[in-house]
Amino acid sequence: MATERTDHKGEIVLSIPSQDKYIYLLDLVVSYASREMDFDEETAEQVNLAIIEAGTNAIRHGNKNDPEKTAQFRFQIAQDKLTVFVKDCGPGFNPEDVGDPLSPENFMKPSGRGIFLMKALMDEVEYRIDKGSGTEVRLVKYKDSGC
Amino acid sequence: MRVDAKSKDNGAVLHLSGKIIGDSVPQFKQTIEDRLDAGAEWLILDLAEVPLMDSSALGTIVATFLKLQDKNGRLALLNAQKSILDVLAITKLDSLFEVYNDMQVALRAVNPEI
Repeated sequence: MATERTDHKGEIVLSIPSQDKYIYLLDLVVSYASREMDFDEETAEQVNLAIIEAGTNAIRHGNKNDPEKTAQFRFQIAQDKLTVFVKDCGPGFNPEDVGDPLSPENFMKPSGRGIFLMKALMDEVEYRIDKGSGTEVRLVKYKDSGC
Repeated sequence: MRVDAKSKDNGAVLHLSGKIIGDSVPQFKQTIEDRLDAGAEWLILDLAEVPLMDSSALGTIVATFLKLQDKNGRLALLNAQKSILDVLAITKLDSLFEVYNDMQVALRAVNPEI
């Protein structure tokens, strides 16, 4: 069951089953968070895609599209930045093992651009992997970062 | 995501609308595969109404480019929005794909016989 609740002013928590159709719900919540941040259109689009990439990774790669597992999102809306935590229940992985999609050997591959895009579109991307309880990625976009 | 496909000679123009994310991506992929299986030698993806596509949708376009290239076919992207163009630039895929803003120019590019 997908739930959305506001714990307190400036934070939104979302928990969704690991099915691709719920990415559209995530998209709505990201759009709402961007409006709350009063991001300009270009920044909102960057944040939109980056969080969708993170959410899709959590659902598909972390939770293997298991509808019994949830992907969890926490949006912290502050005066100067939006911080989003994305968590899955998967076994974890090493982000450093994901190849550079711009390298000649990877450029023509149909996959492998998600993390690269997250890092290009957000100001901060940090992974925390706990092999016992999954992967959490923290993404930050500063307001008026000029990126 | 909605698709309006129009066959033309030995190819097809796919007018797409909506975000290509989540469970729209398999639909997007299948739509293209159906056209390729039917013998399309060129494809134009009209992205005028696509504000966002995720990396797996991009990957589908890369795979489509390669499949068409294997049979000397062509792929063109038409009317991509700035948000899509920015992502193509970041991923350097703008160096791979043909991107047009005019349908007639795109048609002549993918099929000079038109």
